[in-house]
Amino acid sequence: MNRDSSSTECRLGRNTLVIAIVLWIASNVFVTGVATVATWEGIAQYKRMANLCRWDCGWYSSVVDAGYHFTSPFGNGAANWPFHPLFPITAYPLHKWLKLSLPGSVVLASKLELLLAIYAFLLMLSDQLETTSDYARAASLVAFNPYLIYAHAGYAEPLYFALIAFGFYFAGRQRWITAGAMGGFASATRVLGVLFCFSYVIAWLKEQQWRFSFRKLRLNAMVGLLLCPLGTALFTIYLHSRMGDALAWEHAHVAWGKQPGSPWKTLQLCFTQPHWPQVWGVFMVAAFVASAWLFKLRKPELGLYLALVALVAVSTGYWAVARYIWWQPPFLYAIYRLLRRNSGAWLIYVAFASGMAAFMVIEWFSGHNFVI
Amino acid sequence: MDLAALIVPLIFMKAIFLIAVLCALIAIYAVASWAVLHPHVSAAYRAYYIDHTTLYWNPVHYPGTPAEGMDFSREGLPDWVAYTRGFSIREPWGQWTDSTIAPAATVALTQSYDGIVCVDFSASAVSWLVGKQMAITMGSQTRTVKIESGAYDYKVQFDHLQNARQLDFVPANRPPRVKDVDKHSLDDRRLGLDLSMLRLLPGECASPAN
Repeated sequence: MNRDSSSTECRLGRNTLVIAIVLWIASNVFVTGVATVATWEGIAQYKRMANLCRWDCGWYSSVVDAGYHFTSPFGNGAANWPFHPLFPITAYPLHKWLKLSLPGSVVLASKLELLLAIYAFLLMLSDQLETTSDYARAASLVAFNPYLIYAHAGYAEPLYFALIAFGFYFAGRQRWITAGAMGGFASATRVLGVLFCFSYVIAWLKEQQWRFSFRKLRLNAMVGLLLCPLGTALFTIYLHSRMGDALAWEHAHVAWGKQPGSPWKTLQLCFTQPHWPQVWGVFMVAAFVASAWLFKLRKPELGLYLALVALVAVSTGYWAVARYIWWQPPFLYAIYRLLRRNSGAWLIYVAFASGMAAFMVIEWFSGHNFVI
Repeated sequence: MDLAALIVPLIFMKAIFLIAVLCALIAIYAVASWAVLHPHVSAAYRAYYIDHTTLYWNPVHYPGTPAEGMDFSREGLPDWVAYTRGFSIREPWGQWTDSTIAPAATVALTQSYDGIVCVDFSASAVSWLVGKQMAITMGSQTRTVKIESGAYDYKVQFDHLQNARQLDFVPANRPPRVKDVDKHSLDDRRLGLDLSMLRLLPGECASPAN
């Protein structure tokens, strides 16, 4: 590498970080501003960052506070086992060492991880980005995600997003062990991260020009592959030693009435019920269409990941579908590629995304379970 | 010094290291697989979280004796019942056995029973099961009763029980879904008996056994 290209890369890296920081600050100002105005109007109760901690944030907080339950403390059998450990681990130092309040530390952790998510997404898209404007637009897709609230409310979404985006970035550069480690961390953040194994294999086969050969099987690629589900595997072993059921992270969903079912049935339900289920149904269809389009764009590793995630989301019902889909790097990647083809569409998308994001921030305080 | 002499051992060391990591990862997945296949949980946990054969987790227990009985319309379970399986949701008049949840409806007991016991239960049944047989199993013994129409007080005699810890209500054939019999219904449960009261009485049943 010559000195010129090295300095260009360094400048680009610095610019990426600066743009990520600027958009991250803008995202925080946006959420704080909307929550404050909603409080003036009596819709919300926002005084400090910790007020954003609701729904699943409470479960993550319980993990930070006292670890995983030995047995369910609630009559319906609900427990904090489905909430994978990496995100609460990142909130732990903020609460235990810096002495921030429990909900405040969990919310701050997710906010800080949003910065990581923006940066990781820019790296993932780096081969598509040329100008500063390209970088800013790409960063805005994460920073002003329609379901932005999950990045500011003590959820694992931004950390998971960042790790998967890093995973794709490193897999694209044949840095197999690092890519596998990112997959491993992602699977310790959300069980969906395990699906990165499949994309990893596709990325590896792509690099081999789709010719599998045992002779070409490199040790570091094998180690990387086995690292992908490591987070969930270790969590599984931990739960077995703590409370006896290695799959408690899956079994506990029964308390919320979530059971794996037919994806087709969920889609049918979405379009036969009024209001939000129809919106979620549109998101599901959009995810599958985006997945197919990613294959056409010769990004099968992204397309496969999005298809698998969408399939898992649809199979578990429709309540969390929006969150599942809008916090997937391949989905935002597809949106970026689509919008880049037609710069006029950016305006429409920005209007949709910011309007939706503001509405979701306001509704976050309403207690309605369509945004959980 | 020859450069190759320096590099070759390094490459060899790296390969050894990667093989060691690979072996460690395989060992971790082996342990995880073993843990998945060997849950160390209570029967009640298994019924609720894993098998989904009960709809209520850790129900409250109220004081009571087997002779005083178990009121199926009352929230919670009496002290002498550990948990139940294969029952539908609690309703003001009792609880239905539901074969979509489990093939048999089970009342697991907190203590074992030996000797002679009279199982006395009040139940009505879905109309399409009237006249059919239902097996009642306690410990290793099974008795069959003919399902009567309307609310009926069944008395089932068990002799020479040994270490009996559960009572099962097993329909002779898997009941059909309600919606398959009643075309106006959307109910997809496979209902059998609607139990309202269950008593376990020591000794022989007072009236002739069914």
